[in-house]
Amino acid sequence: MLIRLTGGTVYDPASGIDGQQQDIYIQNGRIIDKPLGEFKVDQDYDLKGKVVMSGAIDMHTHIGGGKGNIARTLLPEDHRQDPVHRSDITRSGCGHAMPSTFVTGYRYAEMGYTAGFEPALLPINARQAHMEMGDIPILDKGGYVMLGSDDYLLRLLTAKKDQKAINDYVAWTMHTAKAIGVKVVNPGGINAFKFNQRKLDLDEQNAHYGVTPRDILRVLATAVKELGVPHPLHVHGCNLGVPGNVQTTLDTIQGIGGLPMHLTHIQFHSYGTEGDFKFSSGAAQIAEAINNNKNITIDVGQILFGQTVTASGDNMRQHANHKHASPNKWVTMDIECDAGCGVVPFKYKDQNFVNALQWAIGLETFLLVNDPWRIFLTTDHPNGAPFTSYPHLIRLLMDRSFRNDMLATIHPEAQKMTTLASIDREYTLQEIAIMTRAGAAKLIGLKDRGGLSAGNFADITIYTDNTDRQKMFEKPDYVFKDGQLVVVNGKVVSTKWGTTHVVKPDFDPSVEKGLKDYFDRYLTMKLGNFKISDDEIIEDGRGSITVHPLSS
Amino acid sequence: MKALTLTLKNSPEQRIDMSPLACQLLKALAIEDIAAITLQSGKRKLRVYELFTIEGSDSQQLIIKNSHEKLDFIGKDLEGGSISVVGDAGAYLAMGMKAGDIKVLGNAGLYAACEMKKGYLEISGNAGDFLGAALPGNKMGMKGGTILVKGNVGQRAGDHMRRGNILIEGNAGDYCGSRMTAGTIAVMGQTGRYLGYAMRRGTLLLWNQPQLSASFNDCGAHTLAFLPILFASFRTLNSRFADVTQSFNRVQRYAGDMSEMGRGEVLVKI
Amino acid sequence: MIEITEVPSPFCGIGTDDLTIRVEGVSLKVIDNGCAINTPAFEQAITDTSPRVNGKEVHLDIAIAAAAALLKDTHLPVIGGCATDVNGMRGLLALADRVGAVVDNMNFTGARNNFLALQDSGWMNTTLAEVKNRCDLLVVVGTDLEAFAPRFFERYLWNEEAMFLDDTSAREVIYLGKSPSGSASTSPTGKQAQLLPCATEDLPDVIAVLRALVKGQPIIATAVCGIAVADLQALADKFKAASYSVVTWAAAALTYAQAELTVQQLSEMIKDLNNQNTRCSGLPLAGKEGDQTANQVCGWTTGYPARTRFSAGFPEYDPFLNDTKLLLANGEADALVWVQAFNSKSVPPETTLPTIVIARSGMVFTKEPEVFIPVGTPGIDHVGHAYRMDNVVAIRLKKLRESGLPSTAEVLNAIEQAL
Ligand SMILES: [Zn+2]
Repeated sequence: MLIRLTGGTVYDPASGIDGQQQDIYIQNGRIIDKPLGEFKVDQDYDLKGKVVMSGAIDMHTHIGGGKGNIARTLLPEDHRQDPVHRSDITRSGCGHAMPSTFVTGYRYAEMGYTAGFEPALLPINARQAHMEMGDIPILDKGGYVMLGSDDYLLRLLTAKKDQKAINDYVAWTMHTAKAIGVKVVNPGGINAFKFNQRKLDLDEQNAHYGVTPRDILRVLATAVKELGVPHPLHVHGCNLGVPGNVQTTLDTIQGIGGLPMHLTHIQFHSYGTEGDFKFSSGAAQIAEAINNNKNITIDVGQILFGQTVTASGDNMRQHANHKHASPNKWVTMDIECDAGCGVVPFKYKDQNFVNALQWAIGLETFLLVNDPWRIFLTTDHPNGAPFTSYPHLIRLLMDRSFRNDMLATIHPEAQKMTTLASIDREYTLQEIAIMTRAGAAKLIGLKDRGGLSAGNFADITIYTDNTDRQKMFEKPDYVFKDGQLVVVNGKVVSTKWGTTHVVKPDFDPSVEKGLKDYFDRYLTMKLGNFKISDDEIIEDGRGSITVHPLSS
Repeated sequence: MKALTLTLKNSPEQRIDMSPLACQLLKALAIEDIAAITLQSGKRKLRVYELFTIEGSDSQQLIIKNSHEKLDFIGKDLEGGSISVVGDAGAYLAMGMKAGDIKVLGNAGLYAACEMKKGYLEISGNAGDFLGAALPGNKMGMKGGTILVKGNVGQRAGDHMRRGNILIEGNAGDYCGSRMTAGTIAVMGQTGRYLGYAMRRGTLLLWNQPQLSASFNDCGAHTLAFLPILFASFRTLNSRFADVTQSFNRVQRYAGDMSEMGRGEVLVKI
Repeated sequence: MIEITEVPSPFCGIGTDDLTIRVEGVSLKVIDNGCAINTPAFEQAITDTSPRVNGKEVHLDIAIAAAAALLKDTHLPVIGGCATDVNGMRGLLALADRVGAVVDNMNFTGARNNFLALQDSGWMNTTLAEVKNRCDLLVVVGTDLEAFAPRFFERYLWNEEAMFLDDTSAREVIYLGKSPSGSASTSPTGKQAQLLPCATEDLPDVIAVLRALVKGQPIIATAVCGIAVADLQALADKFKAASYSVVTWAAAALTYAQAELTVQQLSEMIKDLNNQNTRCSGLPLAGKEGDQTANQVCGWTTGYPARTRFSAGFPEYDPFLNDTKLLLANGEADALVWVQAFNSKSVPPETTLPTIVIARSGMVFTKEPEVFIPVGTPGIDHVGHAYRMDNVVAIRLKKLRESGLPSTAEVLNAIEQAL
């Protein structure tokens, strides 16, 4: 079947197309060049005056894995506020802060998203993360496997094993967990919490291993680079949420020595200690450092006001934050000599000084970082806000007067502590397309996604141009996933299953010798039973695995 | 205008969600519209007229006759008016009620008056577990208003209670006043085990000596000036609580639950 | 004949995965590392291979059509049991969504003790590998741990080596409430567990006092339900002196009303301890007959654990009114689907309602159900996934033999298709 999208205004940063009128042809799920000679169009969509982008990609969203399911179980009261009825083509479920898997797929698609990446795949819990993501319809998905607080890595470091040993272990873990990237969360801190350490600064030693977060970051970033994994080491740094952590973040950037590194939800790591409340914005310093260090990429982790739940691997910091839990209930877990997690419900309030300034810090960061290819639009769903708030966030970025109107309503002391009102920048459609499409695909290393040139998969979103950018991005006219029309006028009209994106870096098979011994002595599972096979993802007939090339 | 009277035709097999019939939702509706409202019952959505015979027209004075223990959510979020239940009420009676009054001649099921905010609920028979409590996941139970139960109440009465009065003429089951944060529960009859379990603050006022947990400490006998004022506020009730001879001001005071903040008090008539 | 090693068990809940099983045709023999729970569960012979409708053996298609016909015009069908693997639960929830059923896991009334506590205030928990390597004080509350999981002590406490303990046999074990039925809790060097016995239904009092002592609140009483307050004070002090203490309980063993409040007191006590410069964690025991699996899959599919109804077209959680027992007793349910792929002794509750049983081969009925479809057991007849007690770890179940029995998922998906 040949589909033609006729006359739309195309924003395709991957091919340098910025608002040009172009026709797009789709066949067998992919975008093709205009066929030569005579041809018959089976379906023609007249897109004159419409905005055409590729499907959006959320490069950091907590959509699969144990902590999300703990968050769901913890919050029946939140689900009761947003019941989702079944239809002939969609399943029932719940929405709001931590939606059910099916609803996650529908609501992302209804906003024009066609892929989401779970950033905290614990190796021991990766199976669950993939099973949950296996129940998310329409979207493509993938995950970044979490390392850095696992006892095996820390033992390798204490034993002064060489970088090759680390690389083999990292590559092996990516295989077994079916990952496309590597993440580190509070490097070594989750482990330190198990030894009753309550904070761990960049150069502070783990009480048992004597290893510092700086050491861990360096070996993991090196491993990721040397293995040719396209996505740079994905870093949730030390001291999340601690006033003054801007210095930690700047030190982290310097300390990585020019290696590629992605700093995630940087808003939570950009706090100074100035002012009457000893809490201030470090966004300007952070943005300057990002602008000056081309090896660094970031996503923001914008907070937006309202009820949500925070779900993180960082049980050390989540435990410290439990006194802010609203409602007052929270979970932390130590997990299998592997990692941990912490789930704390939050209600961000615009009349709370700290929350209001967090909001401004995130926006300052967006607006002060110059290169949209190195900054990504996230709320760290659901930590800063549920992903369903993205259209609102896009409007804040694209509409200065709207932003300033909002700014005028927040806590007055926070207004005084932010430079936001003085920033004129408004994001362009092309810049939004970079952040949420082309840039994200490039950052993750997705081949044939995030662009609209021939050869790409036909993940395409079509909007009606509207100066109210929130309205525009809330309700796309059409969304195609792999060439199948899945959304019309912001409602799912058909569903399908996306693929799971992975990379498979090489490793020396002898790595399993040491691992087998370790598993047998200390863990609770046999090595062979730990490894996730491709079958587990594809055997039910709806999942598939897409292996992406390594960087040379 | 005569009170709108809905008489249940048959005992239902599946529970019926009565929440669409709270008075404030009926205000602007003609009788035909009310008759056509659908109520969820199991998988089915049944029209009011299929389930009830309908008489009268004043929807702000609703009478449910021949009522049944499977009629749930009667008077949910009630914002005013009155509901009279002739027979039993199901679960979640008067849930989240904000104003008005509800009287039940028979018994009420689980979670009656849960998360009630204001208004008056009177149950002539017995009430089930979780009277005035909070729904699972919610941390705040009853926040205001008055509940009078002439019969007995089940377990966990006043769980997570924040404010208001629960008056029980009969007996209370185990865990009366569990996890209470504030408010008053008065029990004329007997109380069960684990009274005030994990309560933080609030008052349990008892006519009979309870079996108290070791996490409650005896603080001695006291004469409390506020008690006569409290009893005086019950005078207008159609209840033994209005009876002057029932009032007292000398009590043995116990403080607990020491597992929590220990600022709750159990006051026992002496 | 073949021998399969490193076989994981979906039966014991603690994720034992070192069994060696000899397979001859369709008969299985546990050669290594069996236990009182796993060995009979694996070795049970296949007796039924054919579905039955009204007691007559029929082809699978006929049975599926009959099941679909029974469900078609119901007012409130109930799907009970819910004892199967992840794919089985996926199929079960899809069917429930389609037919507007109540989904109720058979162990939920016990599990409710944990869920209601979790949903009210949360907890700080740990998992088995952390216990194995870190735990220096294990307090077992109200539970006969070795009867629950025969190999718990061998695998997770008396392991020869631990990463962070010099001598695992120096770990301390204390039983609060129920005393152990055997001696598995005695360390390899002969150190016996300390017992602080009381009646199970007295635990709410005992735990409240213990928590008060942990917090340093005054307690006037000198004894509580037969336990000296001084002994509880000593226990509170041990918690504070320990580096990584663990409190374990089986929700289902707390067999008294409102036991969620006991779980909550324990969980809040654990939080209190973590604010007193030490680490302490909870370890709720479960994982039997797919209960964690049911709750996990229902959790991501609906937001709620597996006592949830779909009758109004969307999921509604009610931990009390969605109870199968209640729905059968009060006449609300008008059809019962019983799904039990693990345990053929776990028969459906007695009812006169039309009943569809999708269960492990060998189930014996006092009243023959309208439809009986024997299915394969996950981890024996087909691959699958099951959750371990600590909820984080899903184990990959192996296929051990070619029995020809369909999986739960295949049967439930087919019923949904046939509607
Ligand atoms: Zn995140």
